[in-house]
Amino acid sequence: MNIIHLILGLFLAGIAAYGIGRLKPAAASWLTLAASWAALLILFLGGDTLAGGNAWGLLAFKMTPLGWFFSMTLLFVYSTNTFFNLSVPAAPTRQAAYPMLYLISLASTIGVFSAENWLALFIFWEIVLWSSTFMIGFGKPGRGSIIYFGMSLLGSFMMLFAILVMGTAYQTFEVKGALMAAAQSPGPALLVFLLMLFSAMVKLGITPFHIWMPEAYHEAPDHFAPVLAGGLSKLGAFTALMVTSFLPASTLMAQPWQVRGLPLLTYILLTVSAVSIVIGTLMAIKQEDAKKLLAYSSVANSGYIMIGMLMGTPMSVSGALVHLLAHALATTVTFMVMAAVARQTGTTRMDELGGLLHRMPITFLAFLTAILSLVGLPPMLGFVSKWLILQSLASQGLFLVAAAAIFGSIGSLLYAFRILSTVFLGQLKPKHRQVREAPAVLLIPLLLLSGVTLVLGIYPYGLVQYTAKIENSLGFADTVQITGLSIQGNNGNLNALLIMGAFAIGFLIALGIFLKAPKSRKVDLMDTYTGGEFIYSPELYSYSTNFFAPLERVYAGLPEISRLYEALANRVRDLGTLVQYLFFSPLPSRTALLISVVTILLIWGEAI
Amino acid sequence: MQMNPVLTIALPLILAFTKIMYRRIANLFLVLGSLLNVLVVFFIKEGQYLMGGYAPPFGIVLQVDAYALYSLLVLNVLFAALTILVTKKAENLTSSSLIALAALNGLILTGDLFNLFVFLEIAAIAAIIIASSSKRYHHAFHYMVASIIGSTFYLLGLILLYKQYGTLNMAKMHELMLASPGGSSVAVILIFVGLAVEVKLMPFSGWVKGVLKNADEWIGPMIGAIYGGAMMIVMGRLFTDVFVVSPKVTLLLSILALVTLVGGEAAAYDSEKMREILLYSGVAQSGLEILLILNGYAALSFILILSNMMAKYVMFLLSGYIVNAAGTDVLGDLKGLFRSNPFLGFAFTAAGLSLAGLPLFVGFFIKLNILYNLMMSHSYWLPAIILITSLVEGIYMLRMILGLWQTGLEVQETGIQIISPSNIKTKYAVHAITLILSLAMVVFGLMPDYALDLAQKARGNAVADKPAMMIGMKGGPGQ
Repeated sequence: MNIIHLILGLFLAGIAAYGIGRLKPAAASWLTLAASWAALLILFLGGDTLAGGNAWGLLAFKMTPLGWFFSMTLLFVYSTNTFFNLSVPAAPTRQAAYPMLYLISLASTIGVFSAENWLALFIFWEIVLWSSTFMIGFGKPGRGSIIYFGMSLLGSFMMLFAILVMGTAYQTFEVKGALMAAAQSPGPALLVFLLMLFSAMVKLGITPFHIWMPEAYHEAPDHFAPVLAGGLSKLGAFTALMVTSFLPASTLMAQPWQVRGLPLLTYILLTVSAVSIVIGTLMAIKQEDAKKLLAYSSVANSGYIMIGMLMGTPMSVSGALVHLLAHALATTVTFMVMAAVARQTGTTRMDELGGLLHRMPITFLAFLTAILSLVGLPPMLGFVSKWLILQSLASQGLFLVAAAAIFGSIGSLLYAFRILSTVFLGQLKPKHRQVREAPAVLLIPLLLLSGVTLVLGIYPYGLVQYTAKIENSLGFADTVQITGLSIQGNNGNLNALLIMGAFAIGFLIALGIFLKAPKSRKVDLMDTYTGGEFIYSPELYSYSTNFFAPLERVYAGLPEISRLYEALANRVRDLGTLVQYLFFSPLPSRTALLISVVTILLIWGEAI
Repeated sequence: MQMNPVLTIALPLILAFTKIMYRRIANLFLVLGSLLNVLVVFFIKEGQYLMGGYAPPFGIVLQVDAYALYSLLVLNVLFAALTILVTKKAENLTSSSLIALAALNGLILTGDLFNLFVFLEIAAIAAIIIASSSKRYHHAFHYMVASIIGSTFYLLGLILLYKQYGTLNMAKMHELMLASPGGSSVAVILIFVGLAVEVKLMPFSGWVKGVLKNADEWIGPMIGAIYGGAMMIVMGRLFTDVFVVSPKVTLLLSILALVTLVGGEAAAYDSEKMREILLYSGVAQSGLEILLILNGYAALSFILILSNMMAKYVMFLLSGYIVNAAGTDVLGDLKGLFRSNPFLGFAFTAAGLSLAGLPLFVGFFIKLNILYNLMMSHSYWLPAIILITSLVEGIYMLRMILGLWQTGLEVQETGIQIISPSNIKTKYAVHAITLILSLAMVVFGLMPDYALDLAQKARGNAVADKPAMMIGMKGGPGQ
């Protein structure tokens, strides 16, 4: 069994799933489940030494520790999400293509992470792109899928341009070799670096390329949004990390300007990532729809990942990798929870929800775990990664960026609490009295993912050790250090087990107080009156609209970057209208005139 | 067995005129004639065929090289497929269609510049008759005016060339032009303009909109795909194998081509109707093709022409049927159409994705090689422009395709069948032909080496200083 068999197998399973799906949709969903879990098992057992293989010359594969880490992360997201595919509401439409596209995009992500040359990587990258575009199209109608496609295509073409520059300037397409060659000779290396990084930023959803995220996440079908949010955006981190480690900005632009020991270019990009954190956080606070809120949270979290990779120190890269995993796990859970909520209640708008804690307690627990991890609180994995990133920011002395990072963490508390309190806490809406806990098949992935988040948060040593291995394979001189049970930082160490112990004690005390203290009385939403009058419409009691209104007012007038893209698209339209008017008039006389005049101009132009 | 290529011209011509006596079985003439032509093409061997026993450069020759042969094959197969599909529409057009076929074959085969003019005129007349079958005579008239001006310019250019070099034979002309370059630029420009009208280069393409925006399943593939492709093949022949163009003229014409590429894509982006999008995208594609031809990328332009021809054929054909079934081609009114027609939807999608140059389809490798070769000649800005236009193209193509699928849960199925189920024969034929073509795009997308090799062999030695370096699945240079 090698990577080619794996990829080919998944492709074929996808085509088979289409055939089966046309006859019996449920069977196709089971096939997706079986195929993706089998792939996960093979990859897990094979480890990062899984044989590559060579199909046609161009499509050559080689597993690396970095590729394995990413493949495992994505495969885990994909395969846990297959449980949600099972629960696709009895489709009124033909959706037989969905399982096929799902498996094709899964196979292609493995292709991206294990490709030996840039062209193969690009081919798979693009297949992931169009297959996911079609899958988003299975959701709500709207512009989301096309915005996603357009922005991603912009990113891919930037990458393709960089690939071709490397191919022509250095005569090689090999993933590592081409970047190393670029690092050796300055020439067009800066162009390659910037284009590659921009394309990664599009995929990661870093400002100003993030506009596709809220639209696409919002419109994607509920059972695909977890993969889109938790999985696919991580493709960008993969190329970004390779570029920043094989073609570091420190060799490209060490001179002449430096900021705090970092090249100016790196500092600018770090600032952009910091801005991404701030904007993502502020926008998330504003949203009324839970899926859009979570999308902006991804914008902010991608900023952390990018910062970790750009700094390029062993600790920061470990932080980026761990954060990537933590974010993948947590975001997947949050979107799955939203899918479960949407399935049970029919909406993801926060002002229509409330009090679901009593109806869906297990979903709530999974959500709580994920939210805590996203915010970066112990004992979840998100804490470990944020600690690593903040440590390296502090030791580098980048206080402005660090301030943005901390702002993002505090802001994430605000918006995470908002979902928590408006969806799960508070009072149950009367129309949701009949809502029940999500079926067991949906709880399995929720518990799996949040379990991993918790376990890795308590015992992150194996994971951090593996990031050290990745750093080794990427050619880092030294790697992140672990002694005993503490991860070594520059000004303090992290002992996750110790923190867990302290946390557990605190939890036990709180539990004791809770059990001992008198119980609260549950009050029904409609059990109240205002100004002596009873109100019968429950929506009027909703406190979730304009949740943070005083805060939002502070930045209400902030210009939106999507306007810029809209303006660009409109200019293309204008040009098109102009061309249609000038050159495609229905009048034969005008055509005759144009032909003659342009011919004369050509002859004249030739003469001068 | 070996057949004379003149049969591909003579056979349809004879049938076109004998058919007049047998009106009742006119369709049979058309279908059999075009099928017979396909058969003939399979037995044609490469070489030079003299007409009337006069040796070149005095007599007319038919030049059958790999370039002409592959083009003939694709053209005749597509034409025959169309006659099988659209027999009803073609009923009154049997003669003109057969004449069109003869003329197009002649255009590709002939090795004589004046002979080419004759075929150009015949093809144009046939095309005008075909275009007027939509009963929109104004647009057919528009086409006629444009093409008459074009062919006049062609003739004018030809006269100038004949006066200067004293020959009409292509090979001889090439030799003479190589020997004494310069001085013939005006003639070359005139001939270029003459053909540019036919290949839809802006700003000579005013007629295209009127003819193609109302095209049915017969006019669309015929004018939009087959004619456009054949004329572009001729353009490739003249500006690669025959004329020696001065750098200044190349630059001037390249600018026109570039304007066409950018303007065409923008115009397509601005359109909301299916056939308008297709026709503007076709205009843009011909800009790119001419750009490649002028700058000596013969093999790349060749394979691009053929693959575009096939993709456009599928898309125009299906859009014609869609308009028949739905009564409109405004994309907003066609949402979810493909859900009731998944196979035709697949064919349309594959053709569209291939045109947009997405991987898994052959268009990707063609675009990749174009960009790679342009970059190898140390130009960054040209690939950048092509990539930006590709971005625009990708967006409007996907917008159209996604809208037509509109798989979302909240949209109702239209339930419209693109081809009415009562018409079983047409239904299966359309399914078969479009699916075969779109599967070919997938197969060549997975194994592009064969196609790239063929194009390389056919056109590799056409331009000595620009040998294309092809990247296929087997890997490319520097691998």
